[in-house]
Amino acid sequence: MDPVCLLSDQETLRLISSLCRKRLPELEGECFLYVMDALQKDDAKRLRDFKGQSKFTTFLHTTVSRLITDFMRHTFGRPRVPAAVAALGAWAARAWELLCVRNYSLAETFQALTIEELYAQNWRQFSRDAAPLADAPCPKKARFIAAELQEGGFVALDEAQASNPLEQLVLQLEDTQRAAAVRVLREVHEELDEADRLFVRLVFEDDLPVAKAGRAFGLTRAQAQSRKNGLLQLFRARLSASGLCTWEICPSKTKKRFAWAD
Amino acid sequence: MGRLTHSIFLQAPPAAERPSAHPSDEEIALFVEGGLQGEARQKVVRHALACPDCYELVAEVMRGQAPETSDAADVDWASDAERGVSSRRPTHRYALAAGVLALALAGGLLWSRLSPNERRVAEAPQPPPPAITTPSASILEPSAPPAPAPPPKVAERTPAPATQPSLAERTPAAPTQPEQPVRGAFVPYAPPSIAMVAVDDELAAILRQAAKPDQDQPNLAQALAAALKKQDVVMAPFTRLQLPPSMPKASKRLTQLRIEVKNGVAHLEVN
Repeated sequence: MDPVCLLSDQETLRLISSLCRKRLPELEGECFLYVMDALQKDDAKRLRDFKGQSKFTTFLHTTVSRLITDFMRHTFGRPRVPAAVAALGAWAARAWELLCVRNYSLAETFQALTIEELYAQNWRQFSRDAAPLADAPCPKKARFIAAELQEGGFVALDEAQASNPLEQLVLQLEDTQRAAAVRVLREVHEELDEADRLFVRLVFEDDLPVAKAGRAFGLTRAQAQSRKNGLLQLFRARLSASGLCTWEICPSKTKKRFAWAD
Repeated sequence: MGRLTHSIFLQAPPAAERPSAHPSDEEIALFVEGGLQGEARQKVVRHALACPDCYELVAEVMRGQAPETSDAADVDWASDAERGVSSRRPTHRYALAAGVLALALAGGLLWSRLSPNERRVAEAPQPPPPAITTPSASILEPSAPPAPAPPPKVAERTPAPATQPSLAERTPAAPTQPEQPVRGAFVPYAPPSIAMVAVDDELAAILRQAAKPDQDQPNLAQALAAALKKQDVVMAPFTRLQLPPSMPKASKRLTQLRIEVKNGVAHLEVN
């Protein structure tokens, strides 16, 4: 089918619109126009590059997602750490990136800086140290650091909840053990092969459904679930071996068998 | 979103390893659909690990994908043993199979505990239920004259002689067999069986107590049998109970207890 005809298809327009609404709800109209222009550019070259190897919907989803990212860069520019923030140190630059670019909360930022070993003070001190960040410009700022500092206070630390079993493992540990545990987890992650490393990140970092992540690697739903459980068990085992994980946090899966007889 | 996981695993790759050429849109779409194999897939995986933009794109497209419908797939990952990653089959199938077996076992046990006469009664066709007669006359209708008493039935008119044995008595008595000592929790009348029951707090406490050394084993065995019987699991008395020195922590309210009978020996497995 002619790509230009595909562009006027209702399903195509609906997909573009929904993707723009999902990623940029405030700028949905501008995003839609930018994507449509880009798709029609050069006699719809982007669409003509489609060779029919994958489903057209998936291909269109990929192309439109890439174009939306381009639109965000075009609109907001590439995020660059302000000089005033960079002068505060590496922890401040990372905190600015997490707060302003990745839209972390202040409590999540503190937890991340702690386990990345960029910040060694406690939460109370961090709340004071992070105050200058409130004046720094943020490109797509959904929350205001200053307001969060005033309103969230020390209670906000509870916001940093574990969203998956791997984070639960780390957050259950004592504060002093978390950095060591993260080092162990990184080591294990580095030792995995590339497919497993990507699978771990997709499942645990982006919280993607296991079946969807596994499908990319040719795994069925059951195989992907099994792979996830096995990897999680591997992380637990290495934490246990390094003495960081107690039985309550890393329960052994070995079954206990006993018998009675005459 | 696993934000802490992002902090755990996100590491900037060395510049030398940063791949220059991004995969095409169709390559990424194919990867997400599981259509890439071998080196082509490896190339995309390697790039996605090193390039944050492409990683985000892969995750974004994957997130918008329809749920998986096909289970057919080929696996060319390295074997689990090579990487020390354990691979377990889904346990729900085993649980379902164990449940069906437990039902069959309970039925079999019930059947085996019936006496031969009770079995015969259970197998005999049941007589139809007596017809329920409702008074047709309304209270407003004039009352009919009392009907004469129906003639007595033949059976009532000719009572059986007291000396005639009943049907059950006429049936030759089954030879009584001496009671065999029971070796396991279940009577091993069938091939190896597996039962799975939910253990309540009471039974969990008994099991914990049994794990302690120097316990009165027969009493514990009786208590265990009684507790299981309360949960509709018929337990024959057993004589000796061997439990491991360390019991699993019974922090959960319900514990899975697995009972396996092999060659007359019952095995308990607590998860």
